Amino acid sequence: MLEISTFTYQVILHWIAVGFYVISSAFFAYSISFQKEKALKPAMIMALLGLIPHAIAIIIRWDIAGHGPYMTKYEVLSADAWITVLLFTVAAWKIPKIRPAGVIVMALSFLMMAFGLFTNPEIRRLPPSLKGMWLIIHVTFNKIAAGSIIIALGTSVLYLLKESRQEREFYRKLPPLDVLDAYSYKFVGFSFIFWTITIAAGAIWANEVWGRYWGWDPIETWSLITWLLYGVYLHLRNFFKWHGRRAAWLMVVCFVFSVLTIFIIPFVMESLHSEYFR
Amino acid sequence: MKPLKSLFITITRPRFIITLIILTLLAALIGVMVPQLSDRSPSYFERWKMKSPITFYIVNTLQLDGVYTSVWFLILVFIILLSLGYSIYLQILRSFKRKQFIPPAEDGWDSIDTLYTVEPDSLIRFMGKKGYVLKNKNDALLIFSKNSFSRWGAAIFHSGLFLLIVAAVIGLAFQKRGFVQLMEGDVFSGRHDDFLVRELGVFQRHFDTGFKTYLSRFRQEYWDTDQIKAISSSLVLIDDNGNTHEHTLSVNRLVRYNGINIYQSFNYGYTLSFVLKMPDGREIITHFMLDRPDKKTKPFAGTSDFPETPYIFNMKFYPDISMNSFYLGRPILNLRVLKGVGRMVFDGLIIPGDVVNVDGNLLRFFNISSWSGFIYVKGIDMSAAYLGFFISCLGATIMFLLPHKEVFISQKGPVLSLYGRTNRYKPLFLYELERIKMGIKGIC
Repeated sequence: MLEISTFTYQVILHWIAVGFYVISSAFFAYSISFQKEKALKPAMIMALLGLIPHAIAIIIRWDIAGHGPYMTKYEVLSADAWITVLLFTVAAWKIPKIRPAGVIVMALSFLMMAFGLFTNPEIRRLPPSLKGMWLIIHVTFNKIAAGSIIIALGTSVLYLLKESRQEREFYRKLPPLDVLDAYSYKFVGFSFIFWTITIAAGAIWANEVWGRYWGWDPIETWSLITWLLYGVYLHLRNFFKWHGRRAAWLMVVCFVFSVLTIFIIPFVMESLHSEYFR
Repeated sequence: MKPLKSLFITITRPRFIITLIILTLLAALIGVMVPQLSDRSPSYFERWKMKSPITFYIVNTLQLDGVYTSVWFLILVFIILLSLGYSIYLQILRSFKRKQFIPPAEDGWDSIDTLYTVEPDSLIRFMGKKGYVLKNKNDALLIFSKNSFSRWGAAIFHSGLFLLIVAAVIGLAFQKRGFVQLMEGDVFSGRHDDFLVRELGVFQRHFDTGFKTYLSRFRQEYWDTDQIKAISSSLVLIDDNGNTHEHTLSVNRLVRYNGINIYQSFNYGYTLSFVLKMPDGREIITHFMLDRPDKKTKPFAGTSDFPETPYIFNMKFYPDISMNSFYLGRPILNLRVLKGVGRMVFDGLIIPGDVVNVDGNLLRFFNISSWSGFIYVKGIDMSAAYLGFFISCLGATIMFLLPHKEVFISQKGPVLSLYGRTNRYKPLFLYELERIKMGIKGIC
């Protein structure tokens, strides 16, 4: 009886967090659409407030399930959204100029959470293979990589918006184009590091469980494809000075591939990784 | 010598490097889009060949159905290694050159009118607080640097990748990997021919474990959600002299013996054993290994030929008559026996110990036991791959999180000039430079 009520409690807390994130997204959207800089502050406050019930909900579920948030769409999407919002609020606190990117970051975060909440919230137990330190490293760094990719997408979209609407007052208040471009680059670099660590930790873990580092499993391979694509992005920037508009669009393509790898492929292809996203 | 030099120059050209990355990306895409020989059964490819022979011919000829062992992929990996190796060499040379702190040209300096001379020590203290280290000092010029090791980032990252690829290629070339399915009470001889599946590196021809494996017991445990909680096997390893060594194997807990790692496979289930007695008195014993279903309400099912007979057995086995358990309780088998194609000669429910008449023969269902799959791996030491992973991660972190920054401060009378440069995120560095400028104004 107690467990049922605790379970319901964490679902309610998740929904409260979604509510805060929706309001935050609305403030960000209002700020961008009507060029109201003042709306950015309440948007940030709402995002921060949402993190609290969200964190409590994740901890409660962790306690009930007996494992971290890495099984089922419900847990995976919720934890990804939490890390994304946390990364964004920390980054936006340190770099106020990137706050308008919240319009993308917060919207994607609450959509991820809401999608997770509409799926089966039933707790799934951990299979024996999904245990061990390397799993925690693999999953945690993947979530951080996903969060920084979303922020990089946010700054890239801001770049494209500002570039096409430079004459408007609000967009003039946004950081200069080259600065937005540099932030995208920085967050892509950041996610590249964590994606690399994700692949490395996954390979070591696979060797401990199955006796091989790499088995060309569909998600392993898609993960490599996405990593290589980020490699192309970074090399194009470095060698061919792909900055600005071209780099922003390439970032959007990279984001699409990341979403494919993390969220779509586990659904459509039979993989050793599918277990976490059923 | 000259052609060799021009070859190396070509393979480290930016366009060539980008092309190599894109080709690797495309190869991986083909690997997930086109069914691979290592992933599907031979019958799948037979069906494909029958259905669309031209497509199959093209795919097979271009080795698109075995991307990662194809000649073209190995050539690609070889070229990547060459390119990566020479790039690292160039990056190391470049990193050494960057150590020289060459002052910038006259233009591009930002001036601060200080009204009076600023003590170099105050500037050094101020820059020290900002994380900058004094690298050079003379009467007119102070050179500060931050994250100077970052110039090695690219070389470190690519060296890690190089090491990783070399280790992986060597590992693949010399690996010995085999899979067996063993039922409780049965012994695996450890001989090359007795493996169900073998994966041998290009320089390997034979895989004998050098010991026998006896499966004394297999245990399976489930969560209430039908998911596997734990699986483990009690093994007895028997060497050539007949000495026995008992080990317990489970997921995440391998057994190392005689230089070979044994891993617990996720393939397991129940073995049903039958004896078929012919009218002439001849007896044929057969064991059918049925795979575990994903739900306990589903049966352990399988269809297979009964050896040396024209019969095909279609089995739906429930470990318990409640049809709601993975564990052995009061088992029941729904057996259908077909003779040839489509002629049913038996259809009924039987339990262990039952003897039934099948097309004039006596069939006895005499035993149920568990079976499990085991993976045997004899590989070379892969510490180099671990090291490669670690070095790559370190290099990427240095490259993208800690950009190398240099600040030059020159003083001529009351005018102080400032110049800065970085290897990454220049527009962001300009803000930092602006803050440094404001800070220096503050100490004037």
